[in-house]
Amino acid sequence: MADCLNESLRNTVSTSKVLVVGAGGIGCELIKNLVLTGFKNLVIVDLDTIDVSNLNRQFLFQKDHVGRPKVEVARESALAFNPTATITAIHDSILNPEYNISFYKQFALVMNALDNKKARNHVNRLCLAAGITLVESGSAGYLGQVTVIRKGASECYECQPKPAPKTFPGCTIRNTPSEPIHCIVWAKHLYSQLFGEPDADNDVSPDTALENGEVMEAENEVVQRVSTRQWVESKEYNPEQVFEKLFVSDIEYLLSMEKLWQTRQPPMPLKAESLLSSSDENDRDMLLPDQRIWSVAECVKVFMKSLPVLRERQLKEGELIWDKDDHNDLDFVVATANLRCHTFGIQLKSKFDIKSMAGNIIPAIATTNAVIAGLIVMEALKILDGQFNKCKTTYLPKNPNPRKRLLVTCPLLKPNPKCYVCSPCPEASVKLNTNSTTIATLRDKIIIGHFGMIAPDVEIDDGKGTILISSEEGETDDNLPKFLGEFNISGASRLKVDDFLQNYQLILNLFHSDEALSDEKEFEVISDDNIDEARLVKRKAEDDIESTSKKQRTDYNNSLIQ
Amino acid sequence: MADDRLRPDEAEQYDRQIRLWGLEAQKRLRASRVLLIGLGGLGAEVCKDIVLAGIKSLTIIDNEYKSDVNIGNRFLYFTKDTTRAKAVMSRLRVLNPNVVINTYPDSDTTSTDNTDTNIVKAINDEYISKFDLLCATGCSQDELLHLNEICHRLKVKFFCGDTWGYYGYFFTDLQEHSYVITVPKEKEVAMEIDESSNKDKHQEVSHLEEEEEEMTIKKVMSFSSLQEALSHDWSKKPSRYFKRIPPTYFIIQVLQQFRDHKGRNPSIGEDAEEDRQFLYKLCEDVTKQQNISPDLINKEFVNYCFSELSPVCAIVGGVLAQEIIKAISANDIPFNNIFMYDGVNSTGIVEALIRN
Repeated sequence: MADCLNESLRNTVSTSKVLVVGAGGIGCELIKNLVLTGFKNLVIVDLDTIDVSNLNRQFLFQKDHVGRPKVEVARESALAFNPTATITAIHDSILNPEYNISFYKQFALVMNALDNKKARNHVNRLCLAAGITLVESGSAGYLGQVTVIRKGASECYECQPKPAPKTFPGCTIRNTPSEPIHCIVWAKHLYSQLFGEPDADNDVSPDTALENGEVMEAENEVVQRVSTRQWVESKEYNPEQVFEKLFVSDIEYLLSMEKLWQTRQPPMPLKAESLLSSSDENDRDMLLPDQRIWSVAECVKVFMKSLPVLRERQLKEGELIWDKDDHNDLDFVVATANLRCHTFGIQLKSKFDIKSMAGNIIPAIATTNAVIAGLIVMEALKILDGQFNKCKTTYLPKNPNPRKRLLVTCPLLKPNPKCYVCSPCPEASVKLNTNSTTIATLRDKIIIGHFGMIAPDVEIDDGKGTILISSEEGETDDNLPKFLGEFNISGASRLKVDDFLQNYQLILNLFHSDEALSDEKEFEVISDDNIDEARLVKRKAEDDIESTSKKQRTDYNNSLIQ
Repeated sequence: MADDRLRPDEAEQYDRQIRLWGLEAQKRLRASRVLLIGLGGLGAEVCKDIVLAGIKSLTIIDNEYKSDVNIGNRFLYFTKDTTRAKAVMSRLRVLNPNVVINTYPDSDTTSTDNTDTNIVKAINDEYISKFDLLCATGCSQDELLHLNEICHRLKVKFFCGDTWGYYGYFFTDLQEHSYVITVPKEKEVAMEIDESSNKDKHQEVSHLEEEEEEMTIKKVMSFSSLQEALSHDWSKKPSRYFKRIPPTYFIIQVLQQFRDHKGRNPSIGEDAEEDRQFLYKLCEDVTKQQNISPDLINKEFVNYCFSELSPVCAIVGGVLAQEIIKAISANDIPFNNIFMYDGVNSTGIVEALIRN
C-alpha cells in the first residue's frame, strides 16, 4: 500500500472505479502506476493491436504478443504484478455508441491516454455531459502535457481552437510541387486513385484551374477529361503506360501551361537516359538500409514491380487503404514520390523519411511517457482527495525553462465562455459558398470533420424544422449530393445540429460567400478573434508559461493530428 | 567497429526513438555498459526505461531479499525466493532480449545473506572501470561519496537518486562531458545538398521552403563532484531565491540523514511515531548544518514521505533515465546537476549545486 497517502485517500483510491482510455505508450505506464498506487478497479478501452514498433516503450508488451489486442495483454501483464486488482479490458473503439453517458457515469474519474484529436474531442464531450472529471494527456518525443477538465470549473479540451492539420492547395499538389512533401502527398493521392476509394478532391492529374481562379487554356487540346482511375482502368493498369502518363505526358501537358512557369522553374519529363545515371552518394556504412536514398533507376524498378502487385491485391481484396506499415504500399509511395521529385528538380528523400512524412509518425520514447503517466496519477490523486483546486496543467519541455523548471505548471484556466462545446448555448459560424457546398460536405467535412460529431442530426432553424441530415442510416441520403442553396440556405441561415450520443447541441450559423476562400478552402470557421486575443494576453500575464511551453502547447496540439 | 550496424529487427524495434535521437545516438546506447545499484521503485523504473532504450548491458547490484518488494518496483518481479537483483533478471531479459542483464555478485553464489551492505563499499576502481556509467539508488551518503569519488577519478559517468513518498531527486556528475547539439543549418549550406540532379537551376527555387536542414555542434560541460556539490553554500542566498526555488533540497537532506542514521527509510508501523519525531529532530540538524532559516523547511512534509509512491518513482525515474540516455549518447545539453521533484507542490526543478 502507498502509505504516504492519507488514510481517507487510500480508501478512496482502493474503492474508486476508474476509466483509462488508451493502452498505448502513456496507457501502459499509466496502468502500471495506477495498479501500484492501490487502484483496484480499472476499465481499459483500446481498439489497437500490438506492433513491433511499440516495443521500445510499451513495456507491458513483448515480441510474442505482436498482433494481439493491446488491452488484453496489458490486463494480463498488470494482473501479474497485482493479482488482486479487477481490470476490465474492452477491445473496442471508444467512439462506439455503447459508451454513452451512463457508461461514463459509473466512474469516479476518466483518464485519457490517447493519440488522436477525434477520440479526445469525443471523450471530452462525454465527460462534460456525464459530469465526470477528466485527466487529459499527450506526448510527442521529449515533450508532454497533462491537464484536468471539469465542466464549468476549467477549460475543456475544445475551449481553445486547435491548429488545423496542415493541408496544401490542390494546384500545388497537382501542378506545381516545390517541396518533397508535395510529392509525397501526390503519391498518396495517386495510390488512392489507383487502388483505393477514388476521391475527386484528391485527383493527381494536371489541373487547368489556376490559383487565381482563372481557367487555363491549354495549347495541347488532346488531354482527356476523364478521371485518372478511368484512364488507368482503360489501360488495364499497364505499368509502362501508367508510368509514361504520369512522368512524361502529364508533365509535358503541364509544361504547355506556360503561365505556370513564368516565375517557376519548369519540370522536365523523365527521359530514358536520366534513368541510367545511378549516382549513389550514400554512405552505406553510416546508415540504416532505409535511410539510403534510392537512385532514379531504382525508383523506376520499384514502381514497375509494386504496381502490378497492388493491382492484384486490389482485384482480390477490393479497394485498398494506404498503410505505412505495408511494404508494397510504402514502396509504391516512395518510388512515385521520388520520381515526381526528380521531374520537378526537388531533392529525393529516403524511405525512412518518407515513411515519417506520409505516415505522420510521431517519435515516441518510454521516458517521456513514464513521466506523463506519473503526472496523470498525481493529478488523479488530488481530484480523489477533494483537492481539485490544487490541480494544474503541467508541461514537460525538453530543457528546464529560464526559471529552472522542468515541470512547468500553470493554474487551470476558466472555461472559454464562447467555447462551441462547453458553453451553455454552443454556437459557431461558418463562411462558405452555399451554391458549391453539398450537404455531404457539410456533414462529413464541417460537422464531423471540424466540429467532431460522430452521428449528427441537422435541421434548418426556419420555423418549419426542415430535416437536412439524419443520423438514421439511409434516411436523408437523397439530400447528400444536393447543394445547400437548394434548401434555401443562402445569405445567413441557422442550423440546429445535434449529436445524441455526445449529448451535444450546436447552433451553426452559415454565411454565404461568393468569393473564393484562401488556400482553396471549402469553408472557413469564423472565430471571435477579439476574445481569443484578450484571453491570450491574460494568459501571458497571469501564468508561469514561458516561451518554451507556449511553443510546446503548439507542438503538442500539432502532434494530435492523425 | 565491427558490429556497429543495427540489425533490421533492431531498426524496427527502435524505429520511433531513432526518429527522435538519430542513429548515431542509438549506436552509442547499444555499445554502453551500465551498472545500477538499488532496486527500489526508482531503480526499477530506471532499469525498465534504459533496457527498453537498448543499452548493451545492465549489471544490477541489490542483495535485498525478495520479501522486500515494495510499492514502486513490483512491476519487475516475477520470480520468487531470491534476491531482488536476481528476481528481475528474467523480466528484464524479456523486456528487451538485445540487452545483456547481469547481477553482481554473480548468480551462482546463491547467498541468503541479505544484510550484505558492505558490497557497495567494497566496490573498487577495477570493478567500476568495466562500466561506462553508474547509477546508484537507495544508498547511504557515505556509499554515494565513495562511489562518486571513484567515478569522478576514473571518468565513469555518475548518477545517484532516490524517492521518499511525494519527494525525489537525482544528482549528475559527468565530469568533463562532451556532447553535440543540433541546430538549424544556415540556408546557403543547405543549398548545396542535391548534386545528383542534373538540373542545377532548380535548386535555388525549390529548396528555399524545404524543411530545416540541421547541423550538429560539439560542446563540453564540466561537473562538480558530489562532495563539492554537498558543500554548496545556501546561507548566502537571498530569501527571495527560496520563493522561486522551493526548498525541496533540505527535505531530501533530512530524509537522506534519516536513512544514514537508521539504515532504513521512515516506515508506517510500530515505529511510525518515533520516526516522525526523529524527522523533526533532523530538520533542526539540517537547518543548523546548512545555516538556513528554520522556516524554510515546512514540517508538513513528514505526512508525505513514508513509503514509496509509484507515480513519483515513474516521474523521477523517467527524467533520470532520459538523462542517462543523453549522457551515454552524448546528445543534447545535460542537466547540471540536480533535479528535485516535490509532488505536494507539483514542482520539478533543475538546480546547479557547485562549491561556492
